[in-house]
Amino acid sequence: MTSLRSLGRSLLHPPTRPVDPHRDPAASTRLLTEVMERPLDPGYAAAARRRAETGTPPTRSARTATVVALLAVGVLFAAAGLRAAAAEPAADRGRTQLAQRIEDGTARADDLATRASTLQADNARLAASLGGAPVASADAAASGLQVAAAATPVTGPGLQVVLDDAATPDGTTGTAATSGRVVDRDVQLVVNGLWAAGAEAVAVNGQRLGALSSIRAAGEAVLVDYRPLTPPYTVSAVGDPTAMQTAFASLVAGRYLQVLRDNYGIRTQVATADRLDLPAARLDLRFARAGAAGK
Amino acid sequence: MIAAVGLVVGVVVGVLLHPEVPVVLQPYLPIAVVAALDAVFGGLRAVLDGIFDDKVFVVSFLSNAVVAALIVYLGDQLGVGSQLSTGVVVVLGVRIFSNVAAIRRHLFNA
Repeated sequence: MTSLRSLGRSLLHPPTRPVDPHRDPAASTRLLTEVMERPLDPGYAAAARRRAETGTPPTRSARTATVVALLAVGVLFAAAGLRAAAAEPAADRGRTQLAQRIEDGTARADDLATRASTLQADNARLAASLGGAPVASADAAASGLQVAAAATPVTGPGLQVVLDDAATPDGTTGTAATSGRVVDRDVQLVVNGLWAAGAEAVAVNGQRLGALSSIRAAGEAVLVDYRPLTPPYTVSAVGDPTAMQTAFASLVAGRYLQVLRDNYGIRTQVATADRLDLPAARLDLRFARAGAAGK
Repeated sequence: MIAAVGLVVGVVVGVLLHPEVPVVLQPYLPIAVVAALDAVFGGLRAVLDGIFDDKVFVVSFLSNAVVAALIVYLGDQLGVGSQLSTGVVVVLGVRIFSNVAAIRRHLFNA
């Protein structure tokens, strides 16, 4: 202890500086010593001494004050305990609220998309009613283009390819099953394969794909047009079912599916369908406009 | 004895009434609890030492709670609230520990 103290002193006061001889070497630690060795309020001892000198017994009002103070202490403890208990699931609450907000936002976006497509249809009808024969023929050409541009819903026979994550031994999907998870690249290849096989319209989990659609990954989710989808991924393609199936199987995508199935355990299924209903794609074209003249 | 009953009744009342702590005071609640614990254990030790005094107990409880809250408030205003809270908790915690040790010596002679 002494050696420690002298060490501390020599560190605090380098030998070049004269040391105050009246200074208590342990002055800096006196507070700690005080706290450690005399924790009891000195007031109790002083009051006891005073009582011994004067000999006055404790008054009734003082006793009542003590009880009231202890009552307050009890209420304080209860309040703190209840608050601590209530604050525990705060993190859970935050996550639930975030999830709720995401759901609300998605629902709102869906509503707006529906409204936009209704208004577009109204616009087209009004434009047709305004124009004459040239407009009608232009409309006919436009409706052909609309299918290609995925601007209108499409119904017809076609091919459906279903991709699902590999089954894990315990039946759950976890981080261990990463290699068996369907990723954006898999969906991209299947979609491109279906286009190459002659599909006229393609949708993934009900999301129609247009010329500007994207299939990307964010974390573990596959996003189609920035919308997260959950497995299984159903790629629906409208076209000649038999021809498409034959063509698809002979393309790279068909062989790729085989590899996914054999090497990674991803569950795939290719089936023809008599009737597929594909919605219109969300088309929000952004293009540059010439600035106003003279500016 | 009646004091212990007061404490228990206080807890029961607190649980039953479920008092709503004002948001302004909520940051000081943990510090107030530690300060109150310090006062309670100090008082208990004084009882066992045979020098308990009602006035000293009430004043020490009130001043403990007020001073602790004041230090934390000052720390919050200066931007060192958490550090000062830690300081208050350490000092009061050491006192609680020593008082509990003294109580233990009284009760179990160990």
